[in-house]
Amino acid sequence: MATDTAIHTQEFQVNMGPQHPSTHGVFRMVLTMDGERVVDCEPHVGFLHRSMEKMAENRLYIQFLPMADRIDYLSSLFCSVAHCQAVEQLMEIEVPPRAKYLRTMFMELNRIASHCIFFGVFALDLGAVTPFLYGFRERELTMDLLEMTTGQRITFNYPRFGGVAADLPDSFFAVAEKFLKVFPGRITDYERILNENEIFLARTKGVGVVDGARAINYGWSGPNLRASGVNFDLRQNMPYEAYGELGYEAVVLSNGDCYDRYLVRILEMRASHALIKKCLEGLPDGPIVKEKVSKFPKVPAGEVYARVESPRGDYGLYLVSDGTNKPYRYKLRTPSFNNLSMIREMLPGVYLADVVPIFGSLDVILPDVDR
Amino acid sequence: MRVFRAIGRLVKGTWWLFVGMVTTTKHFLRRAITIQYPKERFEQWPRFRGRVAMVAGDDGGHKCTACAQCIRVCPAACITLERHKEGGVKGFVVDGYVIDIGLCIYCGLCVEVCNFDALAMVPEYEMSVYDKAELVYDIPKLLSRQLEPEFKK
Repeated sequence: MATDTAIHTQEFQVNMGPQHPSTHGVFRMVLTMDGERVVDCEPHVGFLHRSMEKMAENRLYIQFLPMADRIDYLSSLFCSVAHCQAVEQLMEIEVPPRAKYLRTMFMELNRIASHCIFFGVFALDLGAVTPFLYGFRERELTMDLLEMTTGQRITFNYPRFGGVAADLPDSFFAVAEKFLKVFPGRITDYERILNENEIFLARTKGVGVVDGARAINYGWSGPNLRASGVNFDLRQNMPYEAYGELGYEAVVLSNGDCYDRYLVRILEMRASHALIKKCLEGLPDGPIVKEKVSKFPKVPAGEVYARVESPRGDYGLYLVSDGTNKPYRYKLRTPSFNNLSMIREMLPGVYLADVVPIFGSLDVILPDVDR
Repeated sequence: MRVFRAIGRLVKGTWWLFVGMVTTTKHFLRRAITIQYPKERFEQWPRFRGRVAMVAGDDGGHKCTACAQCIRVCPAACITLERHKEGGVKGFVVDGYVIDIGLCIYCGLCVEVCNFDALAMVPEYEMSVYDKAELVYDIPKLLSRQLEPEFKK
C-alpha cells in the first residue's frame, strides 16, 4: 500500500532569552524552527545598553576610568587600560617600565579569570556542572591577587594616566608564587575532564565551523579568530605595554569549530601563566606612575585609536579630543559585538541543541555587546 | 571494520570517562574551599575598598577642609558638602558632609585626590539596610569606623 510517509511539518518560532540561562546575560534570539532544525535566527541585542559612549563624553577623563571597568566586567582591566592608553597617546606620556609590567601582569591575570569563567560556563551550558565549580575556584585565586593589589575583585580601577594606582603589596609575592605553582596542574585537570570526553566531543567537534576568510569578513578577533586558523594577536602583531619586551607567540588552531574555540582558550591560559611568570621575574624597579601628570588632565586636541587584546578579542577605542577636559567623541569597538554578528549566519541548519554550544563558544558578554 | 572502529571509540570514551572520574574523585577527597557565609567570613585584604570613611584627626573630629576635590572627581556624584566662609578663619568651614552610599561605586578616587588624608576606604562590605535613608552617611556615621588606611596613594 503506497502511502505518503513524509511528515509534513510547520515552521514555528521559539523565543530564546532574554532570560534564558545560557544566553549569558540578556540576549534574545527568535529562532524559526523546522522540527529540530533552525531555519532562521533573529538576534535582539540592546537590553543592557547603558550609553557608555555618551557617559564618557559627559565626564572628565578620570571620572570615566572606573566606568570603563563596567563595559566588560569579566575583563574590566582591559577597558580601563585602553582608556588610559588613548589619553597617554594624546598627551604624549611615556609610562614608566614598572607600570608597564604591572599592567601587563594584571591584564594576563584578568585574562585567566575571564577564560576560567568561559571554561566553566561553556561546560555548564553543555550540561557538565563540575567544570563550572573548578573554573570559579581558580578564578578566585586570580581575584585574590588582584584584590590585594588593586582593592577590588571585579572593577579594579587600577591604571592611571601615566602609570598605575598602587604598587604590589609585600604579601603579593608569596601568594603569586603559590598561584603560579598550583595553576598548571589545575589546567591539566580541566583538560582531563573535558578535552577527550566523549559527550563533550560529540557536542562540539565539527559544530559551528567558521573558516578564516569568513571570520575576517565579519570582523572577528581574539580566540575565536585564532581558532579559525588566522594568526593574529595584538600582543604578537602590535605589541603594547610590556608585550614587546616579553615576547609572545599567539596560540592558533585551524578547525574553527566549537571545540577549537574552547581549546584555544585553554591553551591561552597556559600562555598567560607563562607571561605572568616572565613578568614577575623581569619586574623592573622604579616609579609606578609618571611624575607631574594631573589627575584632571586637559587632553590636547586630536584623534587617537587605542587597542588592546582583551580575552574576547580586539578592544578598540577611538577618542577625539577638542582640547578640553572631557572627550569630544568616544567610540568603542567592542569585540563581543563583532563576534556575535555572525550568529544569524551560523545558526540556520543546525539542531536546536547545537545553538547553545555555538553561542557559548563565542564567549560574548552582553554588556560588551550593548555597552 | 566499522565494528572495530566502534569498539575503539567505546574503549577510548570509557577510558577518558574514567580519567575524568579519577580527577573529580581526587578533588572530592580534598578539603572544601567554600565557606558557610553568615557563620564564617573571609578575611579581607587590607587594601579592600569597602566603603568610604572619614579619618579622625587627633581631636577625634574629621580632617576635611571643604576643598571639594572629592566632589569634583566623584563619577557618581554621591558626595554633598555644605560650607561657608567665616571672617578670621582661613578657608572654609564645613557645615555638613554627606555621602550617599547607595550611589557610591566604590572606585576610591575621592580618597586618592584628597590632599588632607581626610578620607579612607575601609574593608566593610555588609551595608544592607531596610530603609534607603539609612544609606546616606553623614559625618558622625562616616567617622564611626576607623582603620589604618593601607591603600596608600
